[in-house]
Amino acid sequence: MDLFRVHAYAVSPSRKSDKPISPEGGEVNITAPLGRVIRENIESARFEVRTTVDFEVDPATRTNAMRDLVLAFGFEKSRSDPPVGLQLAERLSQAMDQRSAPCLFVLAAFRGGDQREVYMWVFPRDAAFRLVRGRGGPSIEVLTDVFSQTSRLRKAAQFRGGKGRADFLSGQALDFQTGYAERRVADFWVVRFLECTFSIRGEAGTRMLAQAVRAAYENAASVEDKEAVFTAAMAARRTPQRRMSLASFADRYLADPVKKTFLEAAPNKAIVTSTFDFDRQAFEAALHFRVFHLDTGVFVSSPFEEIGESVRVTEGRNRQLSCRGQIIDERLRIRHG
Amino acid sequence: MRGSGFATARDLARLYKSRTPLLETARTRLEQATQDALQGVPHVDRIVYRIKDRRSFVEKALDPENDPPYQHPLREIEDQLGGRVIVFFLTDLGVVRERLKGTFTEVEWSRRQPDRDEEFGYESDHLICVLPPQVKTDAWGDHVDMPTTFELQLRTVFMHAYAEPQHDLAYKAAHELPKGVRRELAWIAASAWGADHAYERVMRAYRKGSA
Repeated sequence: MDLFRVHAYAVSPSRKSDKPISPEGGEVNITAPLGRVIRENIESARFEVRTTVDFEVDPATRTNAMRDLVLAFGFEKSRSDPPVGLQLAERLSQAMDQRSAPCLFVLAAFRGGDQREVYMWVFPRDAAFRLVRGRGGPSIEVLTDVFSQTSRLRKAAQFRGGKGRADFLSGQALDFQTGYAERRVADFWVVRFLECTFSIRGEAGTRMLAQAVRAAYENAASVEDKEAVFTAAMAARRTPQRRMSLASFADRYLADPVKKTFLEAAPNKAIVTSTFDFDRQAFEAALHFRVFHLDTGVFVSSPFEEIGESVRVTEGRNRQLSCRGQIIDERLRIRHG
Repeated sequence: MRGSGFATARDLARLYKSRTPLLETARTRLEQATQDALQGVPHVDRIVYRIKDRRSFVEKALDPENDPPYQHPLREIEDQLGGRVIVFFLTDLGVVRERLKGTFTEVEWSRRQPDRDEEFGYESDHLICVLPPQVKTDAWGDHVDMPTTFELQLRTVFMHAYAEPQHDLAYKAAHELPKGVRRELAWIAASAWGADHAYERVMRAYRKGSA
């Protein structure tokens, strides 16, 4: 792929502002060092393992203003007025509220045949030192107009494809703050600016999480491992986190070897780190009962919240279960289940 | 990476066939995801997904009436993976569509129906959704030009009762159907439309009575 277009803008926040500040910048000459830095940033962003996002398209018209601009940036031949890069920078400015710091917004487009790749980055402002050696001895200069390429606050997005109806509907987003408790921060990049939604929708992602928990539980080799998975599932039911990924769940609640089994249950490797909205209701619907098989041939199926209450498990060499409650129904079955 | 460059119908058929195992896995996963999403939703008669038949894919890709012609049919043809949800009543169509939004990203919705008010014919809700990442296997990335979307049809039992036999007859007919047959089909479509609306009235009366 050939890098053929780069735009850069200094962008200040102007969300809900009466006097929006127009971004400053424009098309940039592509020098060899710049091209190298852009390629390095693409590589370090590791888009292949980042969250997949879909444009929120109007189903009646199949359009989304951001998608149209991203396509235009990748495919337009002549310079538009105002430039597409500037239109995107203005949208970014309007998505940033007054608490955000000014940033550097960089757009890059690559081409290969009839395919394009469009990248967008937001690099936050940083402070840096420069050691100056002068006649009067060395001094330190503080640089305030520099932007960090490695900050955890940086954002990036990648969209690839052709110009067809089925192209540029999805992309990859890098944003380390999507799981942030404060919605204003968590939604800034993917929802407010990119006008996207997570490709793994909340209910579907939560069911996928529940399936992986179940797989880890069923494949756990020891009682301790099963208990660890159960504890993780209980913790997930109570978590205040609105968003997670299979990887973030595993890092937070599991340790090897169950962590490994849990992650292996993912439908593919790329989505392990993909973020989705956690849907507590869907999780409880998908994972609500714990079933014990006793040496007497008896099965006890218990809702999670009854374990430790009316259903008690005594740990030890021979784990014992006792259960107490009033019988309100009974049935005859050929087999358990 | 395998490219999508093809010179002949045979090449295209071969390329399509090489992806069939991936599409088959995606089909199974889409069907399961749809069943999970609609768990507990009443009046769902059935959920089925299929992969487009190889011959019909090639015919569609190379149809001389395509305007503009497909440049990348392996990616552009959106019904390579297609699903259908059949429900009892017209009001269930909206309920199902809403529930599916928790699982799929919708990019297009249209209600297919005759253009003129005095006509009766094929009716169905057609959705185009983004193929979610969780239905793909690791090998999906080994191919270029994999589809990015799939089609989902939502119909009532009566819409389906008209559409399927009619599609079968029309598909098999070498020439345009004679006037008498077309009149008969219009009558069947009108009856199906009438039955759907009669059921709506029955449901409303039933709900009123049981309230």
